Amino acid sequence: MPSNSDDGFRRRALLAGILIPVLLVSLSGCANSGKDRLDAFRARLSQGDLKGSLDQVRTSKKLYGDKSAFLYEMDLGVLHHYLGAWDSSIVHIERAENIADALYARSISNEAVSLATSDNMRPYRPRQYESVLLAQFQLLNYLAKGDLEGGLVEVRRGGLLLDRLREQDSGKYHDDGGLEYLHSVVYQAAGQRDDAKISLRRSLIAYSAGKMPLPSEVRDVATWVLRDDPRGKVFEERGIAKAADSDAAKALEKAPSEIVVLTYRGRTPELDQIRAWGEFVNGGLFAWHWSDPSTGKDVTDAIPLFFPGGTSRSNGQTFHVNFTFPVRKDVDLKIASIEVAAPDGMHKPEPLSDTRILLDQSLADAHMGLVVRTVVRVGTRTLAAQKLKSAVRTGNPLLDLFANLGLDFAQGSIEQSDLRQCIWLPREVGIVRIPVSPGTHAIKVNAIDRGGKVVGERVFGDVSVEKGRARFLVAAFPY
Amino acid sequence: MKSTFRNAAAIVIVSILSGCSGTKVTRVAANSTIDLSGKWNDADSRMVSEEMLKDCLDKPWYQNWQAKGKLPTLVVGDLRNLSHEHINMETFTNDIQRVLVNSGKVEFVANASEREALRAELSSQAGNATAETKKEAKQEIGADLMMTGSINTIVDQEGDKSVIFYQIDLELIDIQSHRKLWIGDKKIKKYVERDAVKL
Repeated sequence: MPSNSDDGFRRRALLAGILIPVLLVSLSGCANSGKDRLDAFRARLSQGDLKGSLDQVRTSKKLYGDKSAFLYEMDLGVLHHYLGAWDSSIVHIERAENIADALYARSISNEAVSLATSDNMRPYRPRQYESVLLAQFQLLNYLAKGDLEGGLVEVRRGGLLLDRLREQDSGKYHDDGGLEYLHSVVYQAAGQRDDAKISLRRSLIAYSAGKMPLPSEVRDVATWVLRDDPRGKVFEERGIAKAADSDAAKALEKAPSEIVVLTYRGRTPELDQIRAWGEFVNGGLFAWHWSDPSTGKDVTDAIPLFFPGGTSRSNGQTFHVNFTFPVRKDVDLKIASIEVAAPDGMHKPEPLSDTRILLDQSLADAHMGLVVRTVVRVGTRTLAAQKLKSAVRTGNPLLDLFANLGLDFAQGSIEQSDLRQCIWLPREVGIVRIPVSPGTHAIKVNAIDRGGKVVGERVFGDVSVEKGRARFLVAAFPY
Repeated sequence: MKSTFRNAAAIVIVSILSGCSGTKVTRVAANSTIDLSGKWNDADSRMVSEEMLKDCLDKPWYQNWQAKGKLPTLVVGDLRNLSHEHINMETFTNDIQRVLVNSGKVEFVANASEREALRAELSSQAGNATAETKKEAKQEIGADLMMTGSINTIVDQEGDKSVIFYQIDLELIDIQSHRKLWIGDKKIKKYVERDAVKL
């Protein structure tokens, strides 16, 4: 008959034998892939080396792993789009969309593992604004290569995507004025004026309900185009001020043809993490740490701490809590502004989307779910760690202290926020609509830095536009 | 202690399960119907072309044409994709041509883009092929009828459920008189439900 103490020892050994490997597996799987990827690509990102970036992403599939397969395809799709490789971009964006579709069903096993370890263990699902921007890039891929029918298919698909988005609660990101406006422009180009007005109305509603300021061009065009249309009541219904009659809006409506230039300026903010931890060493020291990269605040401090009636000698036991939250971290933008030189003069792009605003909204929308998951994860892990510390206790204060601190360190290393996102997105998507006569025109797009110096240039030498048609051009300076 | 042990064991099992995946390939008959995503697929294309064109050739215009004592010659015109999916219209066009040609009731001539390629080949032959083998220009057969049409969709969706309604419209037009001899449509309704969770 084994004695009770033998039985207890076996149980503790078994528990340690299970929990330690789990901890090790978790540690190996919980590297912060979002941060690692950002670090690997940061140099090319800030230089604006798009071709080099594409080559680097192509050869870095391992850096993404299975869990970020969506991001791998999205990154390739976006970079090909910037470089004007429309067909390749279409293929990669389609693959990314298929992966996102397949991830619709949430895996119970994945969710359980992530709840015990880190959100990085879950397959990456796109943020909603990433899906919308991806749909926008795909639409422009078709339009830029001159396939209006394919573009119209994308407009209808984009409409379905926005329908799904509208199922969200109001107050959250539940429509996208930029994509709605682009749909309106495409419908107009296809001669589907009624559909163009519907999308224009939706664009006004989306901007008025969201955080993105209503672009003056959207206001001007909507004021003019919806002037004698029942849909124009949207201005009163939503309390949106109408614009004064705009010559540009009138010219667009009357123009026999149009050149539409989509511009991408700057790069999207990065994601970093707030980390906070507290460590209590029995008998007694209390240390804490707080770092917030978005504000640059970084505090680590410690005080001796004795509980009344407690022992003043340490038994080597510790209690450790460690948690993180993702936060936006702004980056320096090399490109301060963009100018488009057209036959009728110089144009400034009208900003349709700003990923800084969209990322903030996305973090706010996901906040409650994130807090719940973090509390469950940190609570479970802390309790498991305390149990494990008890199980491996030797009675030697120094040995126990080292073992406890080692476990606390491991526990802290596991805690990593999910910092994954498409790092190649632009900070700002802009649009310039140029009314032109049928024929061939030259368009030049300049990217200007803060010192007023032209640091990037895109020349479209022979842009031929047929009567009643629109040509879509893309100029990317996402750095 | 027991509950901690059970939780730890559950984590290990779930970790192992989450890592299990694989690819399995099975060959199936080319004419079998397999719906995976609910999108337009080869079965839809085949079914629509077979059913619509059977209807087309059974209608009175065909008997009237037969009375002229010759087979009608058709060309496929503009088939437009007005749906929300990137449908390969070439496959659909080929299905239509296959059904019509195999029926033995009509003759087909090359469509506009194919004619361009054929004319380029003819002009190439004119300068390069031997006199015995080169083909003459201006010997094309003019089509009597043109088939045009479109695929439209209406999608209703909520959460993990959606209903996709496809309407395929085809028309047969007399090229000489511009009279519409036949108008047909085929409707397909699909209910798609996606699982919200999996193991």
